[in-house]
Amino acid sequence: MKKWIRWQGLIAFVMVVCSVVVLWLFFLDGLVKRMVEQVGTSLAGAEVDLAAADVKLFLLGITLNGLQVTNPEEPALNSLECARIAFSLDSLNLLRGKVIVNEMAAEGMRFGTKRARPGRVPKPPEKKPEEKSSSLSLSSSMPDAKKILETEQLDSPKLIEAAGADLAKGQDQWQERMNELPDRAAIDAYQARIQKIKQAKKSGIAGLAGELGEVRALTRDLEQDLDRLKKSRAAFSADLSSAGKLLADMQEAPMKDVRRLRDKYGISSSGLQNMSQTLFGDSIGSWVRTSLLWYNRLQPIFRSAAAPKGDKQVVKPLRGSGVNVRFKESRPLPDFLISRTAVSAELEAGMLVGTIRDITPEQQVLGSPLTFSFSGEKLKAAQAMEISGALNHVRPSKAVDTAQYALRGYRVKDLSLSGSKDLPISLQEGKLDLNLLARKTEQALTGKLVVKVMDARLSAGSGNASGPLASAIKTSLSKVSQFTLTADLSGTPENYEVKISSDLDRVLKDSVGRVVQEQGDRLEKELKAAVLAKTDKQLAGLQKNYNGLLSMNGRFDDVQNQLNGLIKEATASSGAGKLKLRR
Amino acid sequence: MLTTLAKLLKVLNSETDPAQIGLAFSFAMLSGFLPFFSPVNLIVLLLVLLIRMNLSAYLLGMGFFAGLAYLLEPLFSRIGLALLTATPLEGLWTAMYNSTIWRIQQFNNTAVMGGFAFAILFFVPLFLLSNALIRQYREHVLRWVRKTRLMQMIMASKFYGIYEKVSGWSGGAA
Repeated sequence: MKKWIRWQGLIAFVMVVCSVVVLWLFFLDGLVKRMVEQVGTSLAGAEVDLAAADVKLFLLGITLNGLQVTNPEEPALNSLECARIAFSLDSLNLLRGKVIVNEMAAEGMRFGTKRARPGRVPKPPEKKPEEKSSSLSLSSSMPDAKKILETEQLDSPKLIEAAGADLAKGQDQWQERMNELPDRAAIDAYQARIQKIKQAKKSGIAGLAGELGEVRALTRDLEQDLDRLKKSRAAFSADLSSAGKLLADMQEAPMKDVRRLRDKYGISSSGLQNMSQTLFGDSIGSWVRTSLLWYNRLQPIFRSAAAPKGDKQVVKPLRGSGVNVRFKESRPLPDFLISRTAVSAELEAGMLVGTIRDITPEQQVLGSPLTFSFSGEKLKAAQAMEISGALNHVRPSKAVDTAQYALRGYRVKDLSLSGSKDLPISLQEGKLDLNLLARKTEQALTGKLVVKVMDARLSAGSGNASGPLASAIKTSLSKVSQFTLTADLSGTPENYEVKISSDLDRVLKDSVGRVVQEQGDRLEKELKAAVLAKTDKQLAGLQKNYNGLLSMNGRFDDVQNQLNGLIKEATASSGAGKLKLRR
Repeated sequence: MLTTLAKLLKVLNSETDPAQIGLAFSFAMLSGFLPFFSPVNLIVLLLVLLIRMNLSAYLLGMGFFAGLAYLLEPLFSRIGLALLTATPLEGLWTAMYNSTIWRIQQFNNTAVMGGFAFAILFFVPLFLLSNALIRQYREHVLRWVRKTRLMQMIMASKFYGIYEKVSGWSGGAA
C-alpha cells in the first residue's frame, strides 16, 4: 500500500488549491466587473459600464458602484445610471448552482444622463417601422399644382387619346358605309326608270301593261334601298349615341383627375375630424414603441426558455456546454431569484422609491409573479406619483403583464407634445393629471392613457409650417387653457394601433376648417387649370371627330328623303294609285 | 514544451512501471472529459497527486483528452441526457438533485454526466490497453527506434541534450 501512496502529493494538492484560491480572490472583483459589463451589454443591446465591483466573502456580499447603461438609440446618453447596487447571496444555494438574493438595494437611479463618451452599440436598434402618414398635412402651404403634375401621372390624356382614336376609326367605317348608300348616279337611274314608266303610260293601256312589271321591279328596288338605309341609320344612331356618351365621359375625365389629386394632396375632412391624432400621434406612438422595446429587452429577466421533457425540465444554461436537467425539488427554488429589491430613483419630478419583488426568469418554479410598486417621495413638481404593476408568467401560456401609472398635480414646463417637423407643439407650462393603464398578453396589447391638463400654455413652435393652416392652429392653441387627451392602445404586441382623441379636436376643427376649405378650393382651381391646359387640345380634336360623325346624320336624311320622293313618284306614275305601294 | 515532451519520452522509456503510466492516462481521460473547473476534477487532482502515478503522462493525457472531449461533446450530451431522463434512474437522480454535495458536482448537466459515464466506462479498458501498449513499445519498438537514422540524428540534436538532462531527474514516478 505504501508503495502506491505519496504523502508529499497531499502537500502539493494543498499548495495548488491555495494558489488557485488566492489568485481567484485577487482577480475576483475584476472578474465580477467584467461579467456584469458583458452580461449587461448583451441584455441591454448597448455598452454597460461599471465603475467598480466589490465582493465580500463574509456573508458573500457584492456591491456594484457606478453602473451605466448606454441608450442604444442615443449612445451619448445613458438610459439608466445607478450609483450603487448592493446585495448578498445565499451561499448554500450558490453551492447548489442557484443565485438567490434575498435583499437588494439599488440607490441613486437616474435616467437619460449624459455619458463621458458615447457608448458602444454592438447591434444597432431595429429601424423604426414606417409611420402611417397622417391625413392632414401641416406643411407651410398647399403644394404647387405644376409640381404635382410633374410627378403625378394623369389618366385623362391617355383616355381622351384612346377615345379620339376610337371615334376616328368609327368615322372612317361610317364613311365607307355611307359610300354603299344610293348616290347621285343611283338616284338618277331611278329617275330615268320613272320617266320611262311615265312615257309608257302616255302610250295607252297596252304600254302601261307592259311597264307594270317594271313599276313593280322599281318599287321593290327602291324599298330594298330604303330598308338598308333605315337599318344603317339605326346602327349609326346607336354608334352616335355611344360616341356622344364617350365624348361626355372624356369631357369629365380631366375633372376626375383634378378631384383625385385634390384628395391626395389637399386636406381631407377626415383629417380635420381628429387633429389631435395628427398632432400628438407620433409622439405617443414613439413612447409606446420605446416602452415595448425595453419590455422586450428585459424579457430574459422574467421569462425563461425552459422546455419541459416529460416530468423533468431541460434548461439550456446561459453559458457552457450541455444542458441542465432539472428534477423535482423538495423545496423548489428557481436558479435565479431576487426576492426583494429596494429602488430609489431621482426623477425630474422628485424622488421615486419603491420595491420590486420576485425577479426571476422561472416564475413557474417560484409560483409568484414579479410585482413592482413605486411612489413619489418629497416630490418637487408633483403632488403624488404612483407606479405599480405585475408581470405574471407563472403560467407561461397565460402570461399577463399589467402596469398602472398615476400622476397628480404635476407642474410641467416645456414638455414636447409633438415633435412634428412641420409644427412642433409644446406645453410651455401647465398642471397635469395623468392616468395610464396597460395590459399585455401573448395575443393582445391594450392600454388607456388619460391626461388632463389645466392652466395650460400651449405653444406651437417655429417648424417648417408657416402658412395659414399653421397660423390658424397656432392661434387656436394659444387660446387653450385646459384640455384632456385620451390615447387608446389596442391590437397585438406586433401590430397595435394608438387612437388619440381630445377636446382640442373641436377647437381646432372650428378654426382650421375655414382655412382648409379655402386652400382646398384654391388647389382645385389651380389643378383644374393645369389639367385642362394639358387636355384642351385633345378634347377639341375629340369634339371635331364627333362633329364629323354627327354631320353624317344629314346625309342619311338626304338619301332617305330622296328615296321616299322616288317611291312616291313611282307610285304616282303607275296610274291613279291602282298599284298599292308600300312606303 | 521541449522539456515536457522530453520528460514524457523519458517516462515512456524509463523503468517506470507501465501500470503507473496507464493509470495516469486513465485519470487524464476522466479529467479531460469533464469540464476543467468541475468539482470532480478537484478530487481527481487529489488522487493523481496522492497515488504514485506519472504526472507528465497525466498532464499530457489531460490535454489530449480535453481536445477529444471537445469533439465528442455532442455524444456526451446525448449519453448524459439519456441517463438523466431514464425513468428507472429518476428516483436516484431526484435524491441526488436534492443533496447539496451532489448538486455541486453538476451531475445534472448532460455534458458532465455523459463525459463522466464515458470516462468511467473506459477507465479500466484504457488502463489495461495503455499498460499493454507501453510494454510492447519498450520490448519491440524502442530498440528498433534507437537504431534508425532519424533517431541517430535526433540523438545528436539539442532536444536530445535536454532529454538527457531530464533523464537525470527523479521522473515524477517513484
